[in-house]
Amino acid sequence: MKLLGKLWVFFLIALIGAGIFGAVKFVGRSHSESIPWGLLVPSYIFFALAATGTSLVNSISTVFKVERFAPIVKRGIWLSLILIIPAGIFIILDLGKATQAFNLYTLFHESSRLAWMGMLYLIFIVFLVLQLISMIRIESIAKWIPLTMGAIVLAATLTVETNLGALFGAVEAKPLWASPILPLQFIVSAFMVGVCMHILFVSTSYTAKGKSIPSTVQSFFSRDYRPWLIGLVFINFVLIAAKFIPELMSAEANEYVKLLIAGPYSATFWGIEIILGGIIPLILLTNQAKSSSKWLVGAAALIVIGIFFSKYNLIIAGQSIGPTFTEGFISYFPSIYEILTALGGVAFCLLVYTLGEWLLPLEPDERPAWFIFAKRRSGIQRDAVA
Amino acid sequence: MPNKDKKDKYKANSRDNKAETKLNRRDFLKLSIPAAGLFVFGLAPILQTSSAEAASVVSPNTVAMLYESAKCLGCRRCEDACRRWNKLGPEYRPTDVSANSLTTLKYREVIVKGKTKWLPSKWQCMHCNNPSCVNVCPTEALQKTNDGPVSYDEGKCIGCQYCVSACPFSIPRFDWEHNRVIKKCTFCTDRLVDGLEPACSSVCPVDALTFGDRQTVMGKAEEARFNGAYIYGRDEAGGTSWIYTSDVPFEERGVPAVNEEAFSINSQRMLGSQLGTIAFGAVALGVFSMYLRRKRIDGGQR
Repeated sequence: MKLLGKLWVFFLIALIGAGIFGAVKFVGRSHSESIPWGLLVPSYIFFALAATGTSLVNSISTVFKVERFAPIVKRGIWLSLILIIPAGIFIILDLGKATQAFNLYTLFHESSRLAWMGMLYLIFIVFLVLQLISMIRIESIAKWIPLTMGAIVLAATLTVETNLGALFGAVEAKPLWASPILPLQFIVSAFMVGVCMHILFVSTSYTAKGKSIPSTVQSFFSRDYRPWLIGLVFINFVLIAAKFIPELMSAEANEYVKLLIAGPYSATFWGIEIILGGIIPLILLTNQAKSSSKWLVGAAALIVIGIFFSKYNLIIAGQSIGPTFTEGFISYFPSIYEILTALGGVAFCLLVYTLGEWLLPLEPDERPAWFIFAKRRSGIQRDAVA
Repeated sequence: MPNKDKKDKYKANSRDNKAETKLNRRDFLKLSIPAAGLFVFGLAPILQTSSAEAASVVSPNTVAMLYESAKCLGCRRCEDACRRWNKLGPEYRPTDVSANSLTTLKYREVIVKGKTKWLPSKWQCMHCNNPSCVNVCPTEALQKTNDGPVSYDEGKCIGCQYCVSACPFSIPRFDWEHNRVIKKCTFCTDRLVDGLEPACSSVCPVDALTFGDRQTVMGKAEEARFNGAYIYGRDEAGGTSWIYTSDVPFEERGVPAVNEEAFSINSQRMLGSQLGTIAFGAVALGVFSMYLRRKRIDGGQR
């Protein structure tokens, strides 16, 4: 392993350590935050959307058989699987009684979208693992198996995304959330983040290994992913407008929308969600002179930040006006422990991803040779030497 | 000869093109049928909404409570009785409901004809007829009982706080200090089973609280309304088991204005939107992939 690789792993382990410290402090706190759902909930939503969004992009190759995306599909499935890890960590840490979390399954209540969330994640994760194994061992199994796994994962993906949108969209007591457009908005956000995650992780993986991105991959990054992102940023803007314009006319939602467009959250809304996460990437992506992969990676990173803040704004601002009795604006800023926990979760996800890069045959020409799906040991050594 | 090669290549390309297009259409049809079914299925919950609204009409035999705020002295004996019955810790003049104060008296200071008046309002779970908290609770820790109260089982609660967000009256509160689960008024269901009335109403010195069956309580409330009083809880959030009357508009008392439709109905409507979006997403992705496959073939020909 090269020095840079070692440093990267040490950095991630240190961040995980800080995250564990933060999580212990956060879970052990004996006071209420000003709002019930703080930083960890938008972080959970972001990672759930990132995982399912990546899976949505994978399905274009696994289910709909657009063959040119095949070279990155194994890495895409692995990416989808590891992105769901922080989502799970965050939501469990945010539960008041995580020791009773299994009640989600044993006392399943079908009308609750949160109950469905637990059930759907289980289905999503199980079939994603099976899909990864089937893709790795594609040469030694029947052809229908990977396709069936892909179809089940796609169905679970769409259901998870819309269910997550509906989880908030159905809460009429929170006027900023209550909107039938949320399931659609969540699918579009997920697809955007999915495309960006493909670009970010695939590019970084090759760069970290000192290899250049294969020309086939480079080609569909610029010929497909770049125009998709331009289109998706536009669609996202249309959906934001479609949600907010009617809300400006509604007496109840108006106050909440004002928090975003001209209130305490206007900096994160205009500055990050719209300009940094939308307009700047749009300029980078449409500028032909800057169509190199570095600019594409930069635009993808900004879109990811924009989508995270769009969910942060939605969840936090949505809870920021109290009931009539405790009138007024409820301010919230994440505690240092919440921030450390979130960073620790991200670091854990990156560490597992890095391990996967070392252990799993994620390249199109790599084959499993050890255990059920790991690549041969000599392969690991070759990588280490490289 | 080279020309012939070109022609053959072109023919082969067109054959592939046709085969691929045919396959695309077949795939698309395969996808469309379940998607269309899903979409139609998605419409069903929207159509069912009206029947759900009808279902929110509760039996007149369920229990209810009338709070006549004009009679209320604001003595806080109800708070104290609640705290003692539910074995909660002491709390001096709470300003809001909390895990330590399942009911509380809130005051609004108003000036009437130059004189300052303090208007008390008792606040606790309203025990909605069609409760949103029950609808969203993932573990059935919250349940609407046949007798009317919204009961709560601490042993089932996972502390997700979804009910905190979903309640239109912002009643459920998280207990940070003890069990790390939700706390809320249970209508003293543990007293009702023994034939006792709730702790708060049993100690009211001026009979501002009247416990009884819904028919009797609603009768008294409607009579007060006929005599000019304002009424709250009959229609709010689809109707609640607690009915308030007041001599002044409820806004003056600081009681929140809440939509008349049951909040849980939105959840059923959302199911339609959700299933429709799944169908739309699957079809859109299929059509998009079809376009992507054609794009590759066209590119090859060029």
